Amino acid sequence: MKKLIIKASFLVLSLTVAVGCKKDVDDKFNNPENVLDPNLPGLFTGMLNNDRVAAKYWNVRTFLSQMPGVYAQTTYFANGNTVYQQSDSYSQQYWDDFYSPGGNGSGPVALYRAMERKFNNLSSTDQTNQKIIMQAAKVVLLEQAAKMVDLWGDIPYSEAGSLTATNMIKNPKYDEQKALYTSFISDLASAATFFKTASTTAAFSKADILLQGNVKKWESYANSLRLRLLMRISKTDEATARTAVLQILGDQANFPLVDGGSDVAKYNPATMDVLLQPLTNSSSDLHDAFFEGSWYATDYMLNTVLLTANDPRIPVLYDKFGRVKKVAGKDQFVQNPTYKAMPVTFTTAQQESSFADYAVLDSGTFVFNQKLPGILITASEVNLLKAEAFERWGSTADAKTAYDMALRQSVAFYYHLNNINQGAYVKETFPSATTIDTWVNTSNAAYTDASTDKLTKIYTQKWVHFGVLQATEAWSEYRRTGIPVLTFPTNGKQAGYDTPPTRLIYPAKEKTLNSANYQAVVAKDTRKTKIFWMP
Amino acid sequence: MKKMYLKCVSMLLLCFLTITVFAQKNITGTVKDASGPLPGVSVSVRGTAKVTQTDGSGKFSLSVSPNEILVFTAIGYAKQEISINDQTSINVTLKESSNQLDEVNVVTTALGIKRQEKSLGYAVSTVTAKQLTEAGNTNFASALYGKAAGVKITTAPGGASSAVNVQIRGINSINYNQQPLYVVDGVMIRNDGQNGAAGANNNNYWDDQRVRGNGILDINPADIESLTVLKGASASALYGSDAASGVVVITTKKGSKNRGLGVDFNYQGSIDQVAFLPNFQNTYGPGYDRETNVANGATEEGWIADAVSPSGFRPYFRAYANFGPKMEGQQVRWWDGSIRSYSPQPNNYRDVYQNGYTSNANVAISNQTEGVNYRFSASRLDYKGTQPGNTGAKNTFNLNSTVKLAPKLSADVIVSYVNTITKNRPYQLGQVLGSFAGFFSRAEDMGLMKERFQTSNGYKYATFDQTARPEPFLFNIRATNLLDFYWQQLKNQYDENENRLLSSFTLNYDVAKNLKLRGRIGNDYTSVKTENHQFTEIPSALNTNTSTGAYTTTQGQYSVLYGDALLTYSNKIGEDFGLSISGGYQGRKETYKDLKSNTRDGLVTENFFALSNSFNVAETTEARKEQLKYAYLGLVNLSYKDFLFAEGTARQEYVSTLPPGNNQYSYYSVNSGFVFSDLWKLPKFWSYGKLRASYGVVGNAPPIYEANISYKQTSLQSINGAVPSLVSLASYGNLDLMPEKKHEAEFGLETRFLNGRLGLDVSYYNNKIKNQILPLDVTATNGAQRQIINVGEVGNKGWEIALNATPVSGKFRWDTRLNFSTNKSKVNSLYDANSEINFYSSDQATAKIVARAGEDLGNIYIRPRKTDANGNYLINDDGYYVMDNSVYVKAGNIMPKAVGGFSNTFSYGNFALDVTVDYRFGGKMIAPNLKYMRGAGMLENSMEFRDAASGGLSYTSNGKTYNDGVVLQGVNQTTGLPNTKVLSAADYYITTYNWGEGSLTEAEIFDNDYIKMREIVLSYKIPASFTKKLKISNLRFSLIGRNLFYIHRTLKDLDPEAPLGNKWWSQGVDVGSTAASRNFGFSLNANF
Repeated sequence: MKKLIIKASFLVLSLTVAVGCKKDVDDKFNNPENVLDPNLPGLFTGMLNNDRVAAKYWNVRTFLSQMPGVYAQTTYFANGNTVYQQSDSYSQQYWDDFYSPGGNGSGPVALYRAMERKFNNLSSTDQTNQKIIMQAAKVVLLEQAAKMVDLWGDIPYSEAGSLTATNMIKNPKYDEQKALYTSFISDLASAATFFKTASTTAAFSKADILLQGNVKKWESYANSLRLRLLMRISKTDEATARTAVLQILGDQANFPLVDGGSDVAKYNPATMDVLLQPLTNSSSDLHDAFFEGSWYATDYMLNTVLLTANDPRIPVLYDKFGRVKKVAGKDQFVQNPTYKAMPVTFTTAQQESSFADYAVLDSGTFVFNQKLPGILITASEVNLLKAEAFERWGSTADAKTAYDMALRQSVAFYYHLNNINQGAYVKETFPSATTIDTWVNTSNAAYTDASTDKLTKIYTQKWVHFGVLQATEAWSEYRRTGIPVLTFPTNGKQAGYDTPPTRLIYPAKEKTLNSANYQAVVAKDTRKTKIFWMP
Repeated sequence: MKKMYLKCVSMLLLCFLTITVFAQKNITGTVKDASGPLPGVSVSVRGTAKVTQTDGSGKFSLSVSPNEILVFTAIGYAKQEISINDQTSINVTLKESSNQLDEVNVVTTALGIKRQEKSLGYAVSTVTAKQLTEAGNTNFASALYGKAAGVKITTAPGGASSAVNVQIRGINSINYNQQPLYVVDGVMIRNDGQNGAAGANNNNYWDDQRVRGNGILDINPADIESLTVLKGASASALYGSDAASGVVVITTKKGSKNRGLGVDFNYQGSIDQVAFLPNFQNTYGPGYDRETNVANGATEEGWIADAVSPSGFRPYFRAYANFGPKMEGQQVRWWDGSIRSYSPQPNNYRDVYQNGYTSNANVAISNQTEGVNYRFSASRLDYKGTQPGNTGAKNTFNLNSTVKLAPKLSADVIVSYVNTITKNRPYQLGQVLGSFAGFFSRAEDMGLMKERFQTSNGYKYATFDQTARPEPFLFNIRATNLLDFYWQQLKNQYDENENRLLSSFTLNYDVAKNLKLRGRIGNDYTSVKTENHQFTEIPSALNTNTSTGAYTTTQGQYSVLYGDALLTYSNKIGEDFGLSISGGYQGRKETYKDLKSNTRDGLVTENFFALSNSFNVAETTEARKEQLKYAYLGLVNLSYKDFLFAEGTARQEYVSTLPPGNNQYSYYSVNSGFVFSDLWKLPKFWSYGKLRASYGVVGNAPPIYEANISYKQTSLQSINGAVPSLVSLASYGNLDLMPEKKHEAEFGLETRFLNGRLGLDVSYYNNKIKNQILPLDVTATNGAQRQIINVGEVGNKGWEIALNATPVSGKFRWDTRLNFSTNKSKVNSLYDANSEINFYSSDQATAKIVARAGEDLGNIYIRPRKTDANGNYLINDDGYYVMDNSVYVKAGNIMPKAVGGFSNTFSYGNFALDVTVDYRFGGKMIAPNLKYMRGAGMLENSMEFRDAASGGLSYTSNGKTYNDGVVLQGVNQTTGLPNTKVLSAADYYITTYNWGEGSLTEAEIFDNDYIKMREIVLSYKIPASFTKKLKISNLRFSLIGRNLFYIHRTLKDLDPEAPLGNKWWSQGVDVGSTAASRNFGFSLNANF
């Protein structure tokens, strides 16, 4: 017995050495849950799956409804004393999400640099095969990069992403905004040229959760983005914009656009616009984002623009809302008789006591719509860009064609969004042709009057079309055109924040951690500095 | 080598000479104690190396000269010295010692090697079982306050389930592993390894808001025999990685030698009350400055017209600030529709909490027979926290046994089982105290808030605009974050059930004469299951695309497998030289697995908590982590004549968390002790003196997987079917990462005077930690938020002084112990000389804690007020300070300059009074919430200027006269003339103490010095004459008070120990935790 105990004891003892050896130490270094060698299609999908593009709570709640939406009045806001003060932490997050994954965006810069690094190490055959993925990824990057310039002005770009590029930290310099825009425009041109002759691949088609590997659509998308950027600079660099835009518009066969085709009856937003569809198992919607403060209709948009024109989009943009009232002794929800929005000048006490008498965002289209896509570019926007170009540099008749088309497409677009909702929400029936025709031809939205009025209508309609979901674009166009002329209440505001800014100031962490490079742009870093494309 | 040899030989000769000087004779004798002959007593001749031990019958024999002095020492007995003179036979009776100063202290050092304290070349602090248990702390670490020099304790508030941080000798790693390594009965145990780099507690606004615990809470103080803190690199070098921040070595109780079968019973009970709350003002209710009030639709004063309200007005419930009307009992309509009196509620913050209690019982049986020595103990802890909803219980069973398997083979088998149940773990109050959405006014009745966080049918409250929900509030109110807190703690149920098994099996084998082999294998296994029941918030009939409520269950399995083997050869060379050489292996494998399943988008059936009740497809995620560390080690001990000692160690380490290529490294240590009082004849009053010197190196590796460069794959259910997406990580890895290495030199002096009635122990240490590993925050424009790199070098230096004295002895006895330590941590270099590392920044980076090369670690930099050339503050046209956003100025340092404690024991007959005070001086706290609370007019410090009596100026505006004027001292920004612009008090506070850029940053920096009455214990030993009748050998009853009051504190509106978080800088930042508590109770100790 005793011998047995002793033997057993030594056996246990010898086990102590079995805890580990050198090979185990090497093997246990890496996390088994992660991938060590990424491939291009996976990274490309990673870039596309961007919650700053998709219709997601965090982006709508903390960014669009806090900053651009407020400054462009496409979002309702409570009239507090710091309403125009930029939220540092939320704008920091938006900033970070462009450069690095791990937040709510996909970190397009980091992933694109990782792709470049991987691509450069491929054999030339593999490079030829995978170039299409690189070009599409570039377009995806540029769309987001241009928005960054629109928000901040100079941004780190050419040197950004050094960790995924080289594994080393190198704080990037700030690239000058105008030069960046010029490079974006030229990169988009080369991407479009590439797609013109490229043929798709199986790997690309599978990984491309945006356009399913359709090279024709990638070509149109690149051209359309270029058109958007060219028109954006057209107030400060008209010559460049004009030449390039007229080339595009004059040769539609060689420069296809995301314009929904020439027959509005055949326009299908789901297949023709560039929309990021939600993941098929996604169940999120935006109700929390809107309920937490930006649910109500906006004054200028509803009261001044839509109602006066009897706009056919009103039923899919807004619900009338109402109050629970005693009807025949029973609590019953009684709808308001008409659509109307609270005046932007309401005090918070007024807002709090009478909000129920005013319209709210449409529940089927915006609030409870799980199928709401992320909107990258739509035919209506492209036609309004065309209309502006024709009106300024070409024939007003062409401009009218494009403008009318844009209006009809916008109606189709919003009814499309309304009709894809999966819940038990009212799917509005599409308005009759007469209703739309009356609106397009004879209302105050009709393309009539002097050229400046026409341009005002183009800008106003674009602002309406962008609406609550594309607030960043709406703010950019508002700053570029100054249209519509909005009133911003200034009473009782914190000193220094009594009007909206014209750009976002750099987030605090960026200033601190990239301070050496920040010194070069510190003079421009005020909330009232203009972006270069602002006249 | 040759030189070394010569030195040894000459020393040997020297000794030989000393020995032969005197005429020698033999002396014999017997040593006894009260119960009979005492074996194993060390008998030595003072000033020589002559030493022997008493045999089994207490007898000894030794060759001496007549003028020499014999010294008798044994563990647990008072030392005795006897002059020999002409005696040839001596009989000695040793007294059991109550004063540890007289003991021959044997301490458990690295790897469980027991050594005489006398022989150590470095400082250790030993804390006795009595000190750990007498004040009734539920964990041993909280009992260490002020009791060990150089050890700083911080207990997270919230009660028995909250983590305790221990910091030894300053900052050893600016990011990782700042907690010491805990070794229980030779086995390294898990503290909070399952949390990886993040640690147990964060201190930020968004992440996990529960106050978490750490692994040391499971070690039952009542089972601890002794606790030794190994502080310096030389002391801890043998433990290698993870020991860079010191080691706490714990030995649990064994069967007692001379008692036979014994039964011990201990009980402690206490009441826990929240204490040290902010000083609130109780005069003004909700409202802003006049302009804002009017702009928001209220009256100038802050009333909102309300025809239904008896007074015609109602308070402005939405206001976060308290500059509204005076609370004078006006009858008004409240936000729930009731009519209430508008009166101050001075205790409404206190009423957020409740009185808690703690009850802790422990019973132990022990025995020692010829072949087996065992002790079995069982404990039961129950408590109710001070936060509503929080309760918990802990059962601990511990078996400690030694079995003699064969004459030369014995085994120690130690097994502990701990079961912990925690319900609704305390919740951080940062979202209540640090957000305007949590600010409740001074008029708010907490009873109403506690009632209205749910509707009459038990759904979550509905705000005024959630009109579709049942029972929406009538008006818009502010403190919804507080209602959310109640929903979380009073409605939802978050239950943790943790089972932990600690085992250790040690085999001691005397292979041959002088050759010993010891092997050990140990395991620390924890299984945790949590269930989070989140109740349905709105009736399911109102559900839209999603539902509400949730059920989340997690399962964690954490395991540490530890093994070591040590072969030791020890012998004497000649009469005077002792030699011991050991070589061994030590290995540790840690595995952490977490599985989490939760319902998605709410519950289908209301309040039915099961994964199968998920509204959408339920989700499951898993995390697996594994790390391996092992090492080969060796040590050599040399002693000469029992007064000169030297030790050297070396360790070659292999660590899986470092990149292949950099994952093996080696280091060493040397130390030496010199008991000069044994060599030189000191004055009579000077009883003992020893000098220590040591130098050591310890390595430290990063946490699991932190250095990986890898990509995360997600399978997306897209329009193209399942598509893999790959993204890089926000924390970027580093394949060139090297281990941190701490190099530390230490010198010490240990002396005792007047036969031990006065003792002094002084240490000085100076260390450098090279290749600091840090996940450096970088601008996201680098493509990631941070990268783990070797950033530079940090150094600490400091003094530790421990003084103990017995000023009065006799029937009335007074023992006093004072310890004091200073530490200065400095950033010696950074990877880029001009760079700065930002650990924390608050309020749009207006204040930050940074490291800059050449500066002290923990410096605070803030945005200052702008001044003119003469140093006058610039005031803008609106009348406010102008903040300078172009520069940062230093505003102090968060690290305390001195920490320590002062304990006194007074005893008279059967009464004893123990009083422990601890203190912390120097070091500041960043507390943004206190600034916001002041800006919101909640605190007493916002009362100045509000009326003429409080210093408000009289002025006229719009034809009305007001008495709440403030003119800030300074000069106008544009004119340069003295500022004359009058502000209203409300404008002044709301703007100056607002959040973010433009507010007065200095107002969130506070001095944090304190002297705290930590523990008072008054105990009475029931006379033996009485207890004998009950067959109780010892019965003691004590009254206990803990955290009683501050003798001095500079931080008036916050408990100095409030901050949470595991980072070294967390203790300098408060983002709102939970209230501290004060405890009163009693304890009963009985031995049968």
